Amino acid sequence: MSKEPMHTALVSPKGRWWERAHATEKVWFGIAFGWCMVLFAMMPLWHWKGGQNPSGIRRKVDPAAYEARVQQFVQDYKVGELKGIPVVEPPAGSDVYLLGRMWSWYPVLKLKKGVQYTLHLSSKDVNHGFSLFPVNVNFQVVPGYDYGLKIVPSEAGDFGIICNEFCGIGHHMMLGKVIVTNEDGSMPGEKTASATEVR
Amino acid sequence: MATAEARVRAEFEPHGGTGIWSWITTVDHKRIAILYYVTSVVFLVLGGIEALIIRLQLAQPNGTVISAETYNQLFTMHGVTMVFLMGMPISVAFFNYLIPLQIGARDVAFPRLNALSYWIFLFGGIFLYSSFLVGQAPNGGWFGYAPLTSKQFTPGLNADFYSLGLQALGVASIMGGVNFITTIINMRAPGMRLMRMPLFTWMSFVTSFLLITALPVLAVALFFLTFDRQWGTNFYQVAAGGDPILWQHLFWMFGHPEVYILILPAFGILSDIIPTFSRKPLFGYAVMVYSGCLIGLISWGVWAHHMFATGLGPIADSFFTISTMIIAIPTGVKIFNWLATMFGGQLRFTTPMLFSIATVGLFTVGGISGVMHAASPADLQQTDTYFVIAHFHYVLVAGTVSAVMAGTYYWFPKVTGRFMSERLGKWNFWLFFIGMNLTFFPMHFIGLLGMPRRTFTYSPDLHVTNLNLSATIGAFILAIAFLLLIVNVLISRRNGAPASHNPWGAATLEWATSSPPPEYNFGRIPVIHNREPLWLPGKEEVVEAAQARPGAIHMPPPSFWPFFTAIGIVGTFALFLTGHWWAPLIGVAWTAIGIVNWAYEPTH
Amino acid sequence: MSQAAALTYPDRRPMPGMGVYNMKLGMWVFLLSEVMFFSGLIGSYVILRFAHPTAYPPPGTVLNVPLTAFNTFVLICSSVSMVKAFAAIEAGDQKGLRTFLLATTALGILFLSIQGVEYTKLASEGMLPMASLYHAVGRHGGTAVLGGPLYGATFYTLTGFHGAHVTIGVLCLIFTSIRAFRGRYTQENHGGIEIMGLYWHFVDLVWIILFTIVYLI
Repeated sequence: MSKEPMHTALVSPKGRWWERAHATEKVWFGIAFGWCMVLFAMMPLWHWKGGQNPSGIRRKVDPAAYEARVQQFVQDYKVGELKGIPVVEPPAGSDVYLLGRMWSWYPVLKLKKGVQYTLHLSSKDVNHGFSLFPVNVNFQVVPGYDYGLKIVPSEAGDFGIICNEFCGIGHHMMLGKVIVTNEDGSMPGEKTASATEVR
Repeated sequence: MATAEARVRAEFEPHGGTGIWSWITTVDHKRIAILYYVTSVVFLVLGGIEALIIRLQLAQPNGTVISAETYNQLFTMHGVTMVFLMGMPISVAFFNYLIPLQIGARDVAFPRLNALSYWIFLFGGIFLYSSFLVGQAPNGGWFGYAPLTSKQFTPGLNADFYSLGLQALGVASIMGGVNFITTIINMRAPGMRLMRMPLFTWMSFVTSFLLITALPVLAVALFFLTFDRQWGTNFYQVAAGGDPILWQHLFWMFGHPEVYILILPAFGILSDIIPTFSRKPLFGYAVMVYSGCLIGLISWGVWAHHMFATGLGPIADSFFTISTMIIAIPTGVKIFNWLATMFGGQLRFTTPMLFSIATVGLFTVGGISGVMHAASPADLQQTDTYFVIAHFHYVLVAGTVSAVMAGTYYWFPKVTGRFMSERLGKWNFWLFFIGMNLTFFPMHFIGLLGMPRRTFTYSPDLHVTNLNLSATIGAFILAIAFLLLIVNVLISRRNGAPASHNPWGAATLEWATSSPPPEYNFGRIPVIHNREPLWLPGKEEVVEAAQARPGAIHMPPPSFWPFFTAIGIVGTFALFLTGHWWAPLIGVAWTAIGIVNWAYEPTH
Repeated sequence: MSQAAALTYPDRRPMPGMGVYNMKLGMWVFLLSEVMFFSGLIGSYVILRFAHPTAYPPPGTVLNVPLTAFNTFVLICSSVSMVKAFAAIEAGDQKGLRTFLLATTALGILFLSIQGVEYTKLASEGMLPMASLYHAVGRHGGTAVLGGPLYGATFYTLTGFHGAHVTIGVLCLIFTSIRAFRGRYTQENHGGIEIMGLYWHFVDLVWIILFTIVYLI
């Protein structure tokens, strides 16, 4: 059998058993380390200087209480109805409530361009995903959590809400709407698909 | 010596049978590996058929090929199959075959436990698929977000099949992890120090640690779900004070290490193949090892990047963004080291090498889109759209599956003693390459144009019709590629060109023994002096020892009890479906009978 | 034959890796997995509990802390007797091994019995894992609400999983004791006792954490 004695990996072997890093390897270490530092610094800077992360506030909320709050909100500011779903026009700068439920968004929101709102998102039943179309901004709408987002609509027009978190058999039909009017309350002549700014 | 020789013959004959019974009772790691591989390919075909039906449904807007309910079941089972029934077990097939051969052992540390893992996996898979028979396959997505999986929103058995099936599969994975860690630490040949082990074994080592640490967390999440559904507890029920986000945290604490469980074995396969066909030792061996360990370690600190959209707050967002971006560094190191290995090498473009090179390139595409998700503001645009689908299919199909195909072509001569057809192989490769890109590249744009994942249909207004059609065509090309792989394996098994013990001129220890290896693997356990025992001086002795006439070797005898016990363990979970609290106890009793017999079974 | 035996699965032969035989190393690795399992349970408990402070009554109002403190003491004693059993066989003392293994088994059974008594009493007071019975807890003792619906669920899940581990441990102890009485363990070869001890000490250690976090805090 073997002439060598049994080895244990916990004891270092005698002599120099490793090979020194080649010069090119050292260069590569340097580059990798530098890049590591760049990446490391990038994200906090992006957050604090770029203001890109949504500084949303997430609180716990009882789903029934949230639904009652939404009903109250609809009662207070209802201005019309669209396919059976009330259209709500809240005063500028106020808190706006949106409820996700199987499988619709309630109510339809009518907002003014250039005004900051606090958009509250929560769900009545299962997880939903608030995806503003065609802007492609996604927030998860979780039952029991009230997700408060500060938003400033920057473009007037009709925006669709798609549910993008799988929520069961009607997931693909779960559509909603946000209408953004000009500052004077008028609708733009033609629809434009552009960015709504989310802070 | 003559008597020893006689004992060898007397002992091996009963192990070497070929009938069904010999496969049911086998504890030979090489046979278990073949069982794992074949079963995983069967599940690959099933998962592939599900994918093709999904793609047919999505080929046109407002598709009507299947109903929404069927669609939900299909995409859920596609995900569950590809992750738990194909991706993990096919890696385990390679672990099983190669780890003992690469470290110079005769078998794994616990051969019967190894068989038990396999049978639990098989029965768990069958249990999951039996849900189709009652028309209630899991339908909540492969990550089954609570509370959609609760009794209230999924009254059928769908989520029960999901939670109980995955629970059983998790048991198998934990056992496998324990087994491989013990094997790698304890069963190495003399001189096979940790830093001399082939990279594949190293990556399996890291993967095994991830298996034993990640799967228990999934078990906790699934137990809560099972209790919620079976006994009316409220872990995820909002109205009663439960927390649906808890599921997401637990699931992704398992789920992100899981991603590396799927990809690290692939990294190991590439790291063994590329040096062979470049005729150069792996560039930066130590760094490759450390980066693999680092990936495993950091994978525990990145889970919440799956949850940026739930509103974790800026501090958590920033933390998880940074940790996720950091994980790109060791991954990038690996990619550059593979390139550096090929640089200046004598490249031979055989089928395994083609697959490996394609994996390096295409995995990088998936890796880069992964870094894009890591930035939480960008992630808010991409999450839950087809962009994510494109990302992880680039990682898992172009990473894991492609590497597994490379590994199949590479180690097939070792397993069977015959080459796979290179001509079919080249067809296989190019169809795979074209089909893969045609399917998944358009999905980046489908996602950026706003199509959410898991939608049953889409409207023509979304302007993604042509892109979806292209993905469907690509999916069928990909299906032909997989079919070619299976055809090639079946043909070459009998008719392939004969291969020597080291047909590719590779450096690692598994190529020292004959092809196919004898049941005892090595006639004498070779003594290892370096990382490339078949390239560096001393290789003759290694080969001589490996192929020496065996002395008195005792191999563990076959055992029926792993098979028996596995029925009990999976049965325990399956019997929860009846809704009677006492029913699972039947399975427990069955398991107990199996374990007692197991314990008293003679192993000598 | 001696060479043949050496090539198989020797009980205590140091292997080239850790110098620890396979079963012991395997048990250590398995316990690492168990650590993650209980971390998951305890972590979830902490999250659920501190998110709903009102659903959890102050310590000692519902649970019988003195009884469980005694039970903790029983389990710690069983750990001690397990150590004594191992020490006995290390010294080649078969009688000591048998005595202390039986003592450990008996203490394990006592622990489970006391836990059974505790469960029965709590269940009779209406504390069950299910939501529907949550108000029944509230009626107990005339106070408004003693425990929210999560209280019972988390309590039974955490202590129940530990109890399941003790049950498995007791079954293994019975098996080990039978082998000990048949004289299967020797001074040179007693790996079974050692790995049994590892598992048993782990289960005890987990209980001390659970007792602190579920009963005392």
